[in-house]
Amino acid sequence: MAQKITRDDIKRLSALARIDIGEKEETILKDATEIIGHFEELNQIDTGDVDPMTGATSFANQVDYDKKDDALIRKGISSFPETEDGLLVVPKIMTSERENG
Amino acid sequence: MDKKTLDIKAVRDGISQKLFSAEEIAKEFIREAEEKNPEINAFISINKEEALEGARKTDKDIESGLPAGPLCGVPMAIKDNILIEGETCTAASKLLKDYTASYSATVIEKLKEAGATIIGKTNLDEFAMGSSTENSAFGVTRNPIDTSRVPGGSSGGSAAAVSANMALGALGSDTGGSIRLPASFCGVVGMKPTYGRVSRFGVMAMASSLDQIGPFGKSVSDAEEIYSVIKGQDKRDSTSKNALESKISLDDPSAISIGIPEELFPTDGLDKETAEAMDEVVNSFRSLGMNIKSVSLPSVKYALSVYYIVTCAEVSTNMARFDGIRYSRTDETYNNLRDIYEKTRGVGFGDEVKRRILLGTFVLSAGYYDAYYGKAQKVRRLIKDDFEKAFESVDVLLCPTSPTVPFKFGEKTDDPMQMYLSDIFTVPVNLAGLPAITIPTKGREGKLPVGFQLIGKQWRDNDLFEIGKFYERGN
Repeated sequence: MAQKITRDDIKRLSALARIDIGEKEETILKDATEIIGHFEELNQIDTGDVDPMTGATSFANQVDYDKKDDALIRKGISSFPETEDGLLVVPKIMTSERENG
Repeated sequence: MDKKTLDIKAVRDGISQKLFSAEEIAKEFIREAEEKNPEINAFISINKEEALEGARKTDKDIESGLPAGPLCGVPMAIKDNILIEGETCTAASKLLKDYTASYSATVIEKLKEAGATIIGKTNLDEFAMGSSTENSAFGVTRNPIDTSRVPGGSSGGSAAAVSANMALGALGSDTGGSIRLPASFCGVVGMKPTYGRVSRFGVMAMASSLDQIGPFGKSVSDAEEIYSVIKGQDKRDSTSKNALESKISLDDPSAISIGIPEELFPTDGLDKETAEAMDEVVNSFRSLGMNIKSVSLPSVKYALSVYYIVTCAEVSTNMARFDGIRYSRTDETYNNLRDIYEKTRGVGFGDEVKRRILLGTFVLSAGYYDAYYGKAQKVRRLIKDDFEKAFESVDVLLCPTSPTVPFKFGEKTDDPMQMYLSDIFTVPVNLAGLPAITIPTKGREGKLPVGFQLIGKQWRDNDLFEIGKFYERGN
């Protein structure tokens, strides 16, 4: 079944992916239509009882204890755009009742 | 003596025998890099002071009687998506143009421990997404063999640096051919190790079930020397593993079988130069006494679709971290949190990165997941099974690295599907997690280079070096 992708889909996807795509909607739609059209070839294959392959090897991942490395965290955070006392600063996302009036 | 003609072993031996110093070698390569970079643009940054300081430390170690490391004094170029503590790491993105790495990748620690001199960070397609190094916020890299043509991508800077003697070796990352395609286009050796062979700690993740770091060198032996240093299990990469180290014996070449997969070696899908060069390669292996057999990988014809579904899905996930709160912010005129995300990503990412994030969001979204991502994971299994079956009757597979010789700038930039087709012979290897090497075909002096690809069984990376060296020696 061929999947038709629309301008609204592109708008929805860019909102989901949190990307401002500006004036590029048309170009993205054209390219996406061609590429997704190519993906349709997979519908020809019968994959009924095939196990999906979720990684490149069949080995289990090695695990290790998660150890906190304060020095590395400090260094990492200090390279980010806005920080205060080793914490990231973000704009307020909730307002108090009083501010709401 | 022109030190730029030395190989890794000669550099190491020369320094340990004090015929010359690591500092002299570093200076010579840096001079070449500085002279050629304005035209080739292989490097985003050349770190002369750090490099010379590193080389002087190597000389001091040798002077004090310490043994020479395996890469003693070897000037190396590093793809700029691999972190070096305290240095900028841009991934060729506007979004990270001022980002400074807070730690070093495991491969960088290993190179330094082995005595290598790191001379700079190389250009790439933004976040390693591309096949020509035309998607860089820092301008295109030019192919040193013909500067009107692309160097291939995404590790185009690393390949060009080695090809133009701006470095003796280099590291790149390969998600769907990003080491092998540029190596082939620039006439050097490039190798993608078995998935899990080399730690990815400190490389910016693009598609985590496919990414591997690997070496570039001017010869198979040089690539092998670098590979031997960077491989090995690392606690900080949960997918890394120590595995089989044995290698194929070439005492009796007639016991070696080379498979030609018809789907990766189409009679009508190659340009004339590639087809001619590949005939020569097959004849060379035949005249070296090896068995050439035809094999079939029926599901591989779907590899490109599977690859771009899996890659875009993983890209959309991995790129989520670049949100303007962490790493960098590209726009300061925001009204709220969501605005920071959307503007940072809208201004910071280039077209190809946006395209892949949106496609990935699509194939993972409710209602489409099973039809695209789920389906691709199943076909990926069929592709891997095809390789396993083929390897029951042959030792390695042989095919072209690219269907064409290096193309001209702008030839494919307006048509993403055409660009994706450049990877048609390289992506199946990543889907199956196998090792592969590209080696320049011999006898093409004065012509555009053509690389051929040897694909090995899982963990049998050494076989590729053995057979590759055999081809280079011609006996």
